[in-house]
Amino acid sequence: MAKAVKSSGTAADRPATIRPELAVLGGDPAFPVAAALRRAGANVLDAEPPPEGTSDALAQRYGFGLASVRAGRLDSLGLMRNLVEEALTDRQPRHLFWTQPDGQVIDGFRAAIDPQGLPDLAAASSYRKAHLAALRRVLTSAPILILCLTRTGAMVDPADGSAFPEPPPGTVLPPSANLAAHAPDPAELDADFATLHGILQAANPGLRLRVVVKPAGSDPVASRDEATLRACASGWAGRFPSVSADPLFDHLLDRTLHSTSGSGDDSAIFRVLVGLAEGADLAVLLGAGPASAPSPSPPQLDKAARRERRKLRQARRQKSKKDSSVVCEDELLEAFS
Amino acid sequence: MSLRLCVIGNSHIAALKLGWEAAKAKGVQPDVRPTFFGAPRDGMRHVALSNGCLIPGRKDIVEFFKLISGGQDRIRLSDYDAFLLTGLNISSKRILRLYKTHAWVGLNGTAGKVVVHPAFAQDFLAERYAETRMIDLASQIRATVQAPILTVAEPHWAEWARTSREVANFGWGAAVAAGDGAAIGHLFHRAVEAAVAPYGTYVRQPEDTVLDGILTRAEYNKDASKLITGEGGGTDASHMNAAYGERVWSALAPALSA
Repeated sequence: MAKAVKSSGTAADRPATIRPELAVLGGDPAFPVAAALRRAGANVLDAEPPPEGTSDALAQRYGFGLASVRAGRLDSLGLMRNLVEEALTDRQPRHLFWTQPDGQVIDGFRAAIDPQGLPDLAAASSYRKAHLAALRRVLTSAPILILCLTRTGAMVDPADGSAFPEPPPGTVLPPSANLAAHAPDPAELDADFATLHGILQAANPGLRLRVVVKPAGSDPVASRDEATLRACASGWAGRFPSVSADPLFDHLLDRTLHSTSGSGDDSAIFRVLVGLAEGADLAVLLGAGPASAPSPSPPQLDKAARRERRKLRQARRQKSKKDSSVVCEDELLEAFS
Repeated sequence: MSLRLCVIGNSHIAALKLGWEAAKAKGVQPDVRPTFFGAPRDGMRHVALSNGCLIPGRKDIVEFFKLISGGQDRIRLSDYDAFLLTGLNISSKRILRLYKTHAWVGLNGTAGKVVVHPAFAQDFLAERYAETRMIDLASQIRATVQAPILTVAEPHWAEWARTSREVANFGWGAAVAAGDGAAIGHLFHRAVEAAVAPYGTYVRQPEDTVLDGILTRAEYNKDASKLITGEGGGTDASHMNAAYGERVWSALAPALSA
């Protein structure tokens, strides 16, 4: 199953000009970075979008829109490394699928988004393949990838070191999968990031990465994680030229997520946030007018062709409406007169 | 005493009216006394609930009400023992639109589509159907009276729509060619049932009128409109004829006598 990667943004938010495409990986429902960037007007890729017209509540329930793919909760580096390895290398986690007592099969890496499971292993495997194909398209085509980290640790399968998100309550795991909480130290995090970075660069050599760390607030455990991740992210930015990390950006994201509707202040923040996400220099953003996109924009569609297509669509719609109006009235008049 | 049945709908009530007359002529109609109300297209959107009555807010809709009901300019809800809501934007075209971009387990035509869990597909469709005029009216009726509410969807389009260039292509051909018609038709019914469930009962399109899960057999569309040529061509694949209406009354009979 193949699907062209879709750049999304709500109609109201959608920028008038074509902006560089941003890929987002990391799906913490408490820190929906992709949603914040879309709200600010960024051109965030979505390779597994919900159908048009899906309500926010339904999209949230089924895990749509959290990132550029529908990967479920993906809040730690271990989870991201696993997923990217699976998509771009030959690595296969040992306990990927979990068969439930009722025979339904659950994808252990994203159990929370389809907790009902699928009828058999073939179906679950087919869904997984489609998901990985979508992820591959994003990772190999996007010029910029934003990685969103919330926590340091994850549940880890000692059988092969695979990291898993917390299984939903009531989920039955394979008997041999003894998932245990694991909190990696900074050296482990550095090694995970180096692996991840290497795989991504091999697949998409021009890719630029921005590491985002969720501002923790007052929770002490989250604060400890934030401090560890910030220190690591700063180190990665210093070590790899293609990597950036900036607490200001992270706080602007947080602010965007918590602001209400677009006031004048919000629009200024949105402009800076999107500019930074696209790789613009902060000094330029604060000094100049509209955010300048450093990356070459995708080619503009031919305007005349678009206008022509629009005219044809309108003509078709009008014809169809006219025909159906006549038919509907005739039906009633014939039957009842 | 015959059941006083209030039939409300858009242009699709025409087939029910014609079918009722046909059944009556044969003496096989259910023991009900139907009164029809309706307006073409989305005209029923201009009808509002006030003091226990559904009242048109536009003069042209008032005229349709009078013409169709035999002189009544409003629907006094307490005058009826049961309600039958017909069409009113509940259509399998909507699931075909979803099928163009998304697929789920059990379907064959998955290439180029985003895969979703079938539960999501059903929930999404139920949510969309819950926003139709059908469900809006059902909720208004239920908030006012406790009489049973039955619902029937707009018929699937006639089978020739699958290949015709004369009508809009909603994707019947692709779905049938992939062997997905039956699965799509099944999910359509389940989604509509879920949308209708809080207010009443959904009665499915009679199975013997259905072809490939999402189309209506051509014989039930023949001569349904003035625009149909009667020779296998035409421009109206959406409306059905008296024979179809008769079949729907048969399908409704058990629910009407319950």
